[in-house]
Amino acid sequence: MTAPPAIQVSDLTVRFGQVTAVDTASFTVAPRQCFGVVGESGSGKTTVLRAILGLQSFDAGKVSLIGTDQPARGRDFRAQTTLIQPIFQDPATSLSPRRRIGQLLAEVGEVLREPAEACRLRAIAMLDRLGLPKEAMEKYPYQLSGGQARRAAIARALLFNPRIIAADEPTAGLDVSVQGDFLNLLQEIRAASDITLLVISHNLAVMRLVANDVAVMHKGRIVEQGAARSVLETPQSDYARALLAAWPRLKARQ
Amino acid sequence: MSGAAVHLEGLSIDFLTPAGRVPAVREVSLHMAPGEVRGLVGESGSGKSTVALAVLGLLAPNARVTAGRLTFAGQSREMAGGDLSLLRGRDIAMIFQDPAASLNPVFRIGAHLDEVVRLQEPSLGRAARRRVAVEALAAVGMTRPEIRLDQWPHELSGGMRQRVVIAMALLARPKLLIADEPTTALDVSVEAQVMDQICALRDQIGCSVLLITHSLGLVGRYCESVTVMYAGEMVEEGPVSAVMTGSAHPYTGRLLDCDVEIGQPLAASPEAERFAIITGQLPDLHALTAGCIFQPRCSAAVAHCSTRPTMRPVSGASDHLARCWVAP
Amino acid sequence: MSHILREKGGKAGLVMVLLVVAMAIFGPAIAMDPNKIDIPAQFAGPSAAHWLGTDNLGRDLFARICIGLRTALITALLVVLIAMVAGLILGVVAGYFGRLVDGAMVILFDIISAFPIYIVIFAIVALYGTGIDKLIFVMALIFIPQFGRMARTQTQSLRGRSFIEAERLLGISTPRLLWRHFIPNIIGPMVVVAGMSVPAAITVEAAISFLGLGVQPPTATLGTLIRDGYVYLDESWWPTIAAALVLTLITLGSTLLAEAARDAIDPKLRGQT
Repeated sequence: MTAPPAIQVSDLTVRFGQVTAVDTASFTVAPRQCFGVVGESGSGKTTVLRAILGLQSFDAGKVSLIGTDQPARGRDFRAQTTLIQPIFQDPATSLSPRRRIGQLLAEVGEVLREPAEACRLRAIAMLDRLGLPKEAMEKYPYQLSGGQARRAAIARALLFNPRIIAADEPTAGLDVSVQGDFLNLLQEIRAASDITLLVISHNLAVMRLVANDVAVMHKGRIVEQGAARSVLETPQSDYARALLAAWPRLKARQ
Repeated sequence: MSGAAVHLEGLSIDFLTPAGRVPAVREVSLHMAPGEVRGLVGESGSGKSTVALAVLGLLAPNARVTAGRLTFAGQSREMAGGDLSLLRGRDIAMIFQDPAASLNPVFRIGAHLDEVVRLQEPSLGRAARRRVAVEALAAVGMTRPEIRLDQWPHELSGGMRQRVVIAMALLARPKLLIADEPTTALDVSVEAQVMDQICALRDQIGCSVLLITHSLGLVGRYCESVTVMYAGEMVEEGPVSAVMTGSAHPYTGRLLDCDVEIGQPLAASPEAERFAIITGQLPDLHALTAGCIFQPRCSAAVAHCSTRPTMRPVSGASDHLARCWVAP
Repeated sequence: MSHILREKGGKAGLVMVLLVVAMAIFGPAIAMDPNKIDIPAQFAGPSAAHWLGTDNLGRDLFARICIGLRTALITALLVVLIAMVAGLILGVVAGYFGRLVDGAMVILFDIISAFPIYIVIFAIVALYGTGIDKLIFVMALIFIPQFGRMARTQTQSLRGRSFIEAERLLGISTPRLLWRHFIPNIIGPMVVVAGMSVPAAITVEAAISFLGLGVQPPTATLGTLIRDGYVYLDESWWPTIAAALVLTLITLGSTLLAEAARDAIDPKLRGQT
């Protein structure tokens, strides 16, 4: 018996009044794969992510996580926490500013109905695994550096042992000299566990390297999808070709 | 009207903060030939935007220019304590990252352009000014320019708004155009168009262009020369071809290593990809040590690096300099 | 706190407020009996025996003002506290749940704002008699809309923030979400507004007592002191001025202090030396 796909999206449609933000999007993500959804602003890629997470209700289509269909609205977030965890764009801002890291990580234990002490020990171990000292538990998010805060946010997500991690623009706004750090971390997590990665990004160069498969979105529709290394090298659709051609290249001012 | 040479010599700026006086920019010099397109590259904290704001006299109230001489358009003045606001608008124009910063949401596009035209050609009547504005919009590749004049900024997309800002710069006929991250907030497909537009502007009116950006790709594609900044200092400058291919300063080299290119070689599998980083962190400017600014993070540092290097020619070339003892 | 003291206004405000609070707390202990009548000494100016002089019945003004301050401050603080808590709850509920609940709350706030409060006060006095204690809740009503509206807009803007979405995705229950993550981020500005409302509350109480509806003689409150002095203004302007000066001091002081606190909290204004 084969394992169900980690994520299955069929004819997903999301409308905001008259505007169709996502128009019959369909794709499948096999377990342990890294799937990229790439596109420019307004392409609908972020809306797709939010619909998969349940932060956005959808008007038509189906979303399945590990073989379980998800409702179009009114999701049970608690039940979902061990299935899928988000990493928001600028993860540092996804940490509640007036609570200490330790308190934020303890919330994981509350949700999982785990004894507080057991959760605390797991939290410290997780922080350690991500290169953060035990003292970080007592700090407020603003007291950590940008990189540390990002790692603390990832620590919270990982504490749920999720099957899927959904990352929204993981490299946006990061300096070139630090984005590698974050990407390497994602790669390590990917290598060390059975996690499936869903990444939303406008950064074609990075997606070409790390994604197994990609879907290219334009104005709410998926215009092309397939293996990342072929779609982002020799695209077939006009839009994807134009997008790739416009991507700044270091060498050669033609 | 041709551009003018720009000579910025030894600009140093301190910031007054609750924690003390911070030397945010230290001895930055820029020399641009008339009509040159120069990139000013750096990451967060490099001070690149601060340099541009200093030239325009737009620094924050807690900034103090402690040194620097600006020679431009036949005038030369000390920047410390000087009033540079007179140069703004007439000879220097600036394009910001966020066009909303330049476009007042309660004025129509036509009003914005009209303002510039009126300053340039005070004798023109209303109809004539409108014609000039329409031509300017057409010159930057704006579709249906007559209609745009009556639209509001929020009705235009980001790329279109930047075109309007460029049109305003075109009308001002500056000798120097400073573009601070002009395309960072725009989609890639629009980015190329806007950059082409800026280059076209340079071709039309012959102004010099200072492109401030964190994107090495943009610099490589559009600039003739580049200055690299790190933590408030210049670390390398020279022709783009020389700096990008045979970069002398270790920071520039690491920056290029970290840059992810669309055509770069692939690892065996996506799972196996790893990315270069620059280890360490930016130095604390409150507690600057003597010695090279990049030394704590540099893998090529030697004992001599504890003395601050000067900008030295690379391989004997007079136009390629690096602030490094170890560079060739 | 250090930010507040950095501002000139903050320093001055803090000094004024501390001075007045000290008077309220310690004054009555060291002063003489505020109700002791001493006709021969009436309308005296400030002197060694009577630091702030005496009123029409020869009662020591310093003592009376200190007691008056106590009543005024306690009443004002209670009123503002009740208003803040009520406004916070209503505003957060309105801002978070939106739509119908929000619409209802906005209408509620508008009704309260438009309401002729003094009519209600007269009605209550007619039904239950005078006395400031009966009027505290009604006075709080005056201030609820401003807190409510502020809490509502703060909540609305927080709702879209990514840390709130992150917490929602944890499956955390709504009351817990509001208590742990919304309220701590709203309370700061609310407290500043509360500080700025205290002088207004004192003035309201003074007005009510001035009209004879609140505190009854011989108990002193700033309002009654001003009124008592007002009646005898021809004979001596001093009692009125003394009480009014203290009222001004506390009003100015808390406004300066609250404004400095607001500037200190607002990160955009920080770092401007």
